[in-house]
Amino acid sequence: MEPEWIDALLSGEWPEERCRAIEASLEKDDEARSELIRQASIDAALKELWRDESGHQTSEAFAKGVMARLESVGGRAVARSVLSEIIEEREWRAKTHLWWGWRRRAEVRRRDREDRQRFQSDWWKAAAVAALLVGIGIVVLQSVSLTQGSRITVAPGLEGVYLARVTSHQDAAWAASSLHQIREDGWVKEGRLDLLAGHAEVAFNNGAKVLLEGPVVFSVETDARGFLERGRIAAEAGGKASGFVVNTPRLTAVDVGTRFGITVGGTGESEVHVLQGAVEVSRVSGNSVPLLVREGGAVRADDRPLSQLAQVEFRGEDYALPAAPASDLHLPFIRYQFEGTGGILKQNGMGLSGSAYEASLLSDAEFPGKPKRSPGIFGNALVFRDTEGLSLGSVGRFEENSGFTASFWAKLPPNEDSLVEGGNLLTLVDPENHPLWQASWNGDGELGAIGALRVSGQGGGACTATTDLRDGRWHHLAVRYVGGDGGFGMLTHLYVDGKIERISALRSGSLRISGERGDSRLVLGALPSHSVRGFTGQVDEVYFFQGAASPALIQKHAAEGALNVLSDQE
Amino acid sequence: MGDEVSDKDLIGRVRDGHLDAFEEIVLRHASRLRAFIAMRLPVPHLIEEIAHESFVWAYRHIDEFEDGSDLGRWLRAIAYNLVRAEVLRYSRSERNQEKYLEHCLVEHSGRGLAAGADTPMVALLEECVERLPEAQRALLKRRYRLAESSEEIAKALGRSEAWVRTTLFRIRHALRECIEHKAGPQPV
Repeated sequence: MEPEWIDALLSGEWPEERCRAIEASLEKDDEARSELIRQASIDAALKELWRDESGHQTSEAFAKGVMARLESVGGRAVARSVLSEIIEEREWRAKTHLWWGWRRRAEVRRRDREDRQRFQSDWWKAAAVAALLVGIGIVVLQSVSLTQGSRITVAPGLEGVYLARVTSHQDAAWAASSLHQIREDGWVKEGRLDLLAGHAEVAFNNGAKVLLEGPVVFSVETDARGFLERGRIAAEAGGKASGFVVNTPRLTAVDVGTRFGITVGGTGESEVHVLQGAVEVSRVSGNSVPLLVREGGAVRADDRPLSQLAQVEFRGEDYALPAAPASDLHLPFIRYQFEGTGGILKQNGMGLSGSAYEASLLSDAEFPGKPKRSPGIFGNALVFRDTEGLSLGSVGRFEENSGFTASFWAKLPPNEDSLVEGGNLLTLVDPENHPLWQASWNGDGELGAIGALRVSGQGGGACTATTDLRDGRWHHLAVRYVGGDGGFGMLTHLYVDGKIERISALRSGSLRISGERGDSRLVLGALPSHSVRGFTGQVDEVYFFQGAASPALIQKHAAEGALNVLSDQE
Repeated sequence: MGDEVSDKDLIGRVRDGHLDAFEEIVLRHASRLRAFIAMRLPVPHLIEEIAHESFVWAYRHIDEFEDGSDLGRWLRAIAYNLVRAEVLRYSRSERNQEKYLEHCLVEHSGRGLAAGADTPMVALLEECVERLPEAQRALLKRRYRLAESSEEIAKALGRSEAWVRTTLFRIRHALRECIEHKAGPQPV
């Protein structure tokens, strides 16, 4: 190998293609590789020794970074862990840190330009998707049929999982590549959204909302993290969504409960403007010390990998806030509060069933054991033993592949030896009392985390959350099925106390619905006729929505105990 | 007043709760500590992060520093341990195997750490640079102090870019041999 090649590799002066060719030679040449390593250590040491004079980040700037970290107690651990997570999941680091990183960035920009030119010719497809998105939110219930599922997968990846939803838009024109990312009803999988023009609001599953202002390229990475590649966004992520992360080529912004705007320019330079609350901002490379930027503050990371964050003039007026929270209380729903006295329970709600249904707490042939009333999270609740069950009213018919949301409170006794087998909390049954899907706490380690919320369909689809519920405390639980093709487990989101849960085990299986069987019903606890074991504990404030409720609505239920909504029986 | 005495005073002030005194310590030792890390783990972003973590660790354990000992050596020992931890962490990530060059450098670093933290590699490097002929020192200055490209250097010296790159290669090779001669062979 020519000595010149090694210097070119270290200096990063040659094009990436040529550097790659040298790399390939090195793989086969032990002697050259050994020499490269020797050269690299001297090269790096000389750069560090003389960096103060070379115009790169100086020791003074480095010292300021260290001091900033020492002065900001608390936030550092969050930012570092987020940074590590991002680095492990995405290979952007390789693009910015290798010696020829600038070449890779140029390649990324060139690819983007090509994409954009190609997408512009497909504007009419984008318009068609925009039109389809108008119809979000209207779903009708039918009965259900199920097919066989596939094997359990522990700790699944994100592929196939819907992480967010486009909840509203205005004059939105999406690039052709984004058509594959957005389902007709707005659900978004992991991937890149290229909005050529107009505005669109994306609601993440953790409750954060991001307003995209076209032209913008924004990737949904997890249910609580996005990557702004280019353009401008405004984000709102308070309450349970705190900790929402927006990453850019140059910085990481971790929400601490606030609203903020971010702009990324053509070479990755990034600005964060905090409109309300505070945001922890750190660079993704070099001295990644987080700075806590408060309301009215703004910082900028330029396109040099090792330079510091710089304060800039606040321009909050440039960032349109996300639109008012989209109300999904129009979704048909049914509600059980378990209030009143005597042996009768009344349901109310809106748009489902049409008439009130009264469930008796007195024993009958179907359920010899019925629950009792007890003080609950909000007024009265029902207290169950594992042999007891209660049939509630009709929730109507499902449309095939339509979504639903069950949102309720439950309390399980503290983790004891006797509480090891799992138990059924809530079941949807068809008119013949065949269970269609059920929510339970998991007692089998092979099916995911013990004690965690688990939802399973008779066709084999299932997913298990991670939080052990057996602690003697009230927990708000929500099961949201987004509907559509792709498997019941994959299309289901589980929330505990308003926060979306990590899935400890997943089995994909479809939940198809046949409209021939008539109305379905909810059953709490045991299903005596099918020998399904119930649970020991309490249930309160059960809501069933005919459609996928927003994280905001689920979090409102978790925060307030009950939802202050109108019903058509009141 | 020598550095050692000043370091002692600064450490005393840090222990008394004066955070600004620690900034002076960072300013004084950052460059050499970073160079020390660079010689063991020449991956730019890891140098930055490990140097940063070393100073933070030092601040949080400042009471453990033995009065009268060499602060620079203590910092190097901290950095050495962090480098070792980083090498272990790095090697556990299969994803990192895909970055070939970086992987080579880290892997080498893992093998070479037996040299320990006490070898004053940076001081040896500076000595060896001083022993270079003036023309070679000037070339290093252009590349590393003035951050000139090979093309700029070639134009200034009336040489080809290939000559610049090859000469820099040879100078670095000579520096490495000089260090090894002074310190004893280093594992590669």
